[in-house]
Amino acid sequence: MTTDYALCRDGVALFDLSTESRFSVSGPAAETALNALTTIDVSSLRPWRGKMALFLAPDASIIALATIFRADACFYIFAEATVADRLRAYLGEEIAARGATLTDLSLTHCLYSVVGPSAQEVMIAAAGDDVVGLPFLSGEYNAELGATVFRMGNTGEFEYRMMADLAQASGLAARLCEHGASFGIAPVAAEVMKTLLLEMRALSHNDIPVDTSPLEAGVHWMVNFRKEQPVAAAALHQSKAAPRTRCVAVTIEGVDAALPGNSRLLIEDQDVGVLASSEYSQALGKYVGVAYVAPEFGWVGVSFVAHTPTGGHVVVRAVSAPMLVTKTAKRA
Amino acid sequence: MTTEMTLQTARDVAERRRALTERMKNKLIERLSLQLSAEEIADDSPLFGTGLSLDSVDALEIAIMIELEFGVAVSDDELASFRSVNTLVDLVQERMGSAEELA
Repeated sequence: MTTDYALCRDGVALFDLSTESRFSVSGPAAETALNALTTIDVSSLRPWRGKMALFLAPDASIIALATIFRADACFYIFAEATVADRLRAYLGEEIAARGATLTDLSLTHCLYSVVGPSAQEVMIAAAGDDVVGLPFLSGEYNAELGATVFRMGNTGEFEYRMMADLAQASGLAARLCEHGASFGIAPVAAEVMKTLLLEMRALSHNDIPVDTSPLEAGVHWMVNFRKEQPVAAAALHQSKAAPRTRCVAVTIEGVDAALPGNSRLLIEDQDVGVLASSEYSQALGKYVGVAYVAPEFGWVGVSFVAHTPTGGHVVVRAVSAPMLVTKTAKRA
Repeated sequence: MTTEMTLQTARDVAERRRALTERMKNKLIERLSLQLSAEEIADDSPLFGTGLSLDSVDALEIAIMIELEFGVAVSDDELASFRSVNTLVDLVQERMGSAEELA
C-alpha cells in the first residue's frame, strides 16, 4: 500500500477500474430523461464535456454520486462500483419509463485510469500530444489507444480514464505500461483510492450515512439550484433551511490503527457526532477522515474526543479540505 | 474525562468560524457575480475545475477581494493554496490571528 500511495502522489499509477459503474443513455429522449432524474442541468453540457452530478431519492437522500458526459450520440454516466446495483435498478426503470435507452457498459467495456503528477507525460507517450489539450471534465476518442479518454476524478492529481471494448483490455493495459515504464508506472490496488479521495474530502457513497442530504454531506455543489429540481425539490429546500448535521473533514492524531466506523464524537462527554470513515495519510502522517456533526459544532477548528477500541481516547479535529496541495496542483 | 475543548469553547470557535465563512462566501458572490446564495456554496467544494468552476482570472479577483475586504495581502505562492472556501478562510483567519497577537 505504501508503494501504491507513493506512485499516485509522487509518480504515476495504473488502476483497473473495471468494477466501477458505467452506463450510456441514448435515444431522442435521452437528454430529457436524464434531466428529469439528476441534479445538474444536462442540457447545458457541451459535446464531450462532463459534470459531477447526483441522483437523489424524493427525500433528498443520495442514490449515487456520478459524473455525466455528453458524447456525440449518447450520454455516459460513471459512478462507483458500490452503487452499481442500486443505480442500475433505478436508472433501468426510470430511463425506460421516459422513452430512452440505458446500456450497462460494464458488461462490454473495460475501464482503466492513469493517476499521478506524471500521468500527463504517460498519456502523451501512449496516446499522443492531443491529450494535452483535454481540459478537466472532458473526453474524446483517441485512435492511438483505441479508447475513449476522459479527464476526470477527484484525487487532486492528473487523472485520465480510458474506456474501451472489453476485447482490447489487455492490449490497452500493456500499452499504458509500456509507454509509462520510463515514468515508473505500475498497476496499483484500487483500495489506495480511498485515502487519496479522503485527503481531498471527495466522498464515496460509503462515507455518506443513509438519509443524508447533499447539503448535509457538503456535496451540494453538485446541485444546480437554478434548475427546478425534478426529484427532491421540497426536501432540498427543507435541508437548506434546517440541516440536521454537517459533514466535516477531520484529522486524528496519536492512533496506530483506524478508529472503527461509526465511532462516536464527544465534547465534554456529550455525543455530538459520528466518524463515518478514516484512512491513514502518508503525506500528512496521520489518519484523515470525514465526520457528521451537530450543525452548531460542525466547523473547522472544533475538536472532539473519540474512544479507541483499547479504552483510550483520541482527539479528532475538524479541518479544511482539501487537506494537502498535491504536486499536480502545484504544477497547474 | 479530559477533553481539549469544553462545549462553550467549541461553540465559540464554531461561531467565529461560521461568521467568517459566511462573510467570505458573501464577498465571493459579490466580487465574482456568482448566481448562488451563501448556503448553496459548500465550505469544502473545489473552487476550480469543478465545484464553483472558477478560473485563473477569478483567482486573482479573489486575492484582490481578500486584500480589500480582510486586509490580508496574498503572495503568488499562496495562490496555490486557494482550493476551497475553507482554505481561503484558513488563510484569513491565520493572518488576522497573527495581527491580533502582534497588536
